[in-house]
Amino acid sequence: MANNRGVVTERARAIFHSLCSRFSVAGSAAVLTALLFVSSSHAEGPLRVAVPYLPKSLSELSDPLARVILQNTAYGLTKLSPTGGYSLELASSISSSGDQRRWTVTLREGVQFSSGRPLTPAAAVSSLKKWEALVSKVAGIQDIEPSKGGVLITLKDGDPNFPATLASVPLLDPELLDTFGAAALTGNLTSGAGPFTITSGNEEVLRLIPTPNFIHPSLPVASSLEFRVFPSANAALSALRLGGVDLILLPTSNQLKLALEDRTLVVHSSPMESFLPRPRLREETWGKIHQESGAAKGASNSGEFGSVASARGSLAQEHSPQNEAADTLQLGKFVARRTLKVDDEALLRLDLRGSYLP
Amino acid sequence: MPLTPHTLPSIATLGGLFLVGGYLFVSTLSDLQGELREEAILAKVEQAPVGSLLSDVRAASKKDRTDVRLATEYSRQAVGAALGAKDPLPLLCESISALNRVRALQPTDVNSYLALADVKQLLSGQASTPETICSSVASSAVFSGGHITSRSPRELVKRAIELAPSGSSELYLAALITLRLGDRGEAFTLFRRNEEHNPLFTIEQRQFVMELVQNEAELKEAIPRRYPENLWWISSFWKNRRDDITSWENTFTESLQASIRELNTRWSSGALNTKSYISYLSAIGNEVFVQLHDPARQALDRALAIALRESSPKLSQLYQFRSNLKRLSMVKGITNDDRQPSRTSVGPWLSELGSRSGTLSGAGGTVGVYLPEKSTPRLLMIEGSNWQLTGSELELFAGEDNQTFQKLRLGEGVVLTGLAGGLYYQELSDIPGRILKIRAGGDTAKVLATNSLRQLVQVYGE
Repeated sequence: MANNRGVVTERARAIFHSLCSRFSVAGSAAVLTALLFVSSSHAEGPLRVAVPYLPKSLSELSDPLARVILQNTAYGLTKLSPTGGYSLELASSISSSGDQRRWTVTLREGVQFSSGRPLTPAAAVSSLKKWEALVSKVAGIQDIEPSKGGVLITLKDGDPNFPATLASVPLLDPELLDTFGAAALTGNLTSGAGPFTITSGNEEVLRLIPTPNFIHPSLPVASSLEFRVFPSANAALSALRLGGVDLILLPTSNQLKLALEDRTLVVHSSPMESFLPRPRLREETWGKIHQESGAAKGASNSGEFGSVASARGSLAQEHSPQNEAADTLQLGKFVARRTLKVDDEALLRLDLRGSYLP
Repeated sequence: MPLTPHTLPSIATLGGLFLVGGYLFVSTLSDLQGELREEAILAKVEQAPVGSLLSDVRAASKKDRTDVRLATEYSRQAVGAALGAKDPLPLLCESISALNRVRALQPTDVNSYLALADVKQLLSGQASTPETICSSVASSAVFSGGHITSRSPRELVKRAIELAPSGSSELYLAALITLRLGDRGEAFTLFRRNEEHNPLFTIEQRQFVMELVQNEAELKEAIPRRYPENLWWISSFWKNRRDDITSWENTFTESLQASIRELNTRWSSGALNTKSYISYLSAIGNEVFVQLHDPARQALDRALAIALRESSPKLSQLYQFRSNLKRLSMVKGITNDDRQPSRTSVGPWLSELGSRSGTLSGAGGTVGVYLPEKSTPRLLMIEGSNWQLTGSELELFAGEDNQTFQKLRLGEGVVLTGLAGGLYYQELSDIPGRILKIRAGGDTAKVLATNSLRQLVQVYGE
């Protein structure tokens, strides 16, 4: 049965598009806005991700989905490399004093936040200070100050792994954060220097478009990125099989089991468990999240995969104690359509800049 | 020979004497056409490394002790040789003695004062004064035994400035030597005077001086107080040293205010016609720093209000009104095809400090402004080129959460020809929320106005 349902048709995709734009708030406008920002190099079509929920705020770095959104919208000075070390991202060099307490970071030239503001030493310092509590937990920061062309970070104790720690710290435009005040990092009220920029966001869907002047001019490959909440794990899996979405993050045990039986889908190892700080899930099952937040609210997202009533029925089934184990969210895996091109960046960091559907 | 910009950083860092000397003396030598012997030597001067012709020039000077130009070149060659010598003292003293000879032959030779100051400055690290040192150093100087001035390098520079108070190259060299003497404040003052009054002051020279500025006190001395020179500084700092322009904004503002006062004085006295005056003020208004920093913009608004009083009373009133308000918008978003304006969120958000351009189009083009917390918007302005806006197609929405928006009743808007194309303005009151959406309705998606995102829509208030 799974194989029969796994056939992707253009018709299903068209239906999904039509329903999405009908049900989503500001759908068409945001898509058209997105098109205005998209340069011709992003010609591989949209990338859509099914998720059990969307984080209320990106400031919660222990929330795995907040981290994934930040990985795609706000790069750090470094990134973790496949060999287990680090490589440079928004930094062009990093050096330390002999005791590895004082770290001098030079910023990559010409980096702009999606707001259009340049990444200056002062902006980098403000941004690092935003996450100082987090970094201090890991590395123990004594002082951060601007230096010529970069920042100077003094640690309380020497730490040879400090550059790798910086990979967990997203840089954000402090001017925008100041302007947005308490509302910063909710909805689309943010601005980083990552491959994508959030255009609109609410509890049900987050839309992102390629960032103009991104440091890697040919990236991202996808013309847009969308995180869409599904009210049930079943609805999300149906959408994946029918081409309504291209991957599922935080899949349930049952989704993984079914995906392994489906030749059109592939299960990848997810790097979420290696994120710093270690991720914590708001709820452990897909169903519980929607039990609390009101399942019917999200049901409209997946209308083409069944009526609202059947979605509720499905939810009730998933929430039964015997199915709870099957509905448990898994940090260590993600499910994608087999045709989706997934590169190392996605496998290492869930950075979807190089992922696309041909 | 003009003072080439390439020599300047070297002067400040590599022992400027050599190069200052190069400037001073080559210019003198270029018209040296005299006896065969000198001519033969001098023909080589421009090609040969400085210092390599010392023995030739020394011999020629011995023959003719009254030739100022030869004595000058003699000094330069001695310094050149000193810079590469194991024991430079005898050669520096030889150079000083040659310069003293020049001064004796031609007491008003400004360059000899400057060169002497520079050479003496090189000896200033010694335990004794140059006079004492040189009186005890054995050298093969042709002019040894002559009077060595006891004037300090500072006094010599001061004397040079007295002799040539408006000499452009002299002032510039005086500034360079003063800088090497460690008197940075005085050096920056000299650089500024030179830039304000020397029409031949080059872009490279300005760049060199700007790069020397390390703090606000130095900026205060260095930045010109005249239009358009100070605008070039502001523009360059905005482009290259954004953090500094933010930290030192008071000094940049004071410089702009001084230049506006100076223009106003010229206009009031009839030395500047009204058209030029308004065009200069308008150019100041085009500077991003001015647009985003209230004190500078308010001073400009007041000047414009007066200047436009007769030719454009409405525009004059607008600038008068705006001169009392703060600029409110710093973050904006453009959303096209805003078909459900009460439910369409604005984004992505862009900083006004970026360089993006923006377009307001009909049939649902929207510009959103994220207003600062606790602000009270009082004035909306739309400014741009490709102007097709009549005002009747505009709608205003306000919201707090970027999800839902409330339509506002618009007051009476005014469309004018502004200083930078078309201009629309209207007064605002009681905006319920921090996000203001300016939407253009109508049936066609034609472009109504184009400008930088920063200037396309502006909101002022308290």
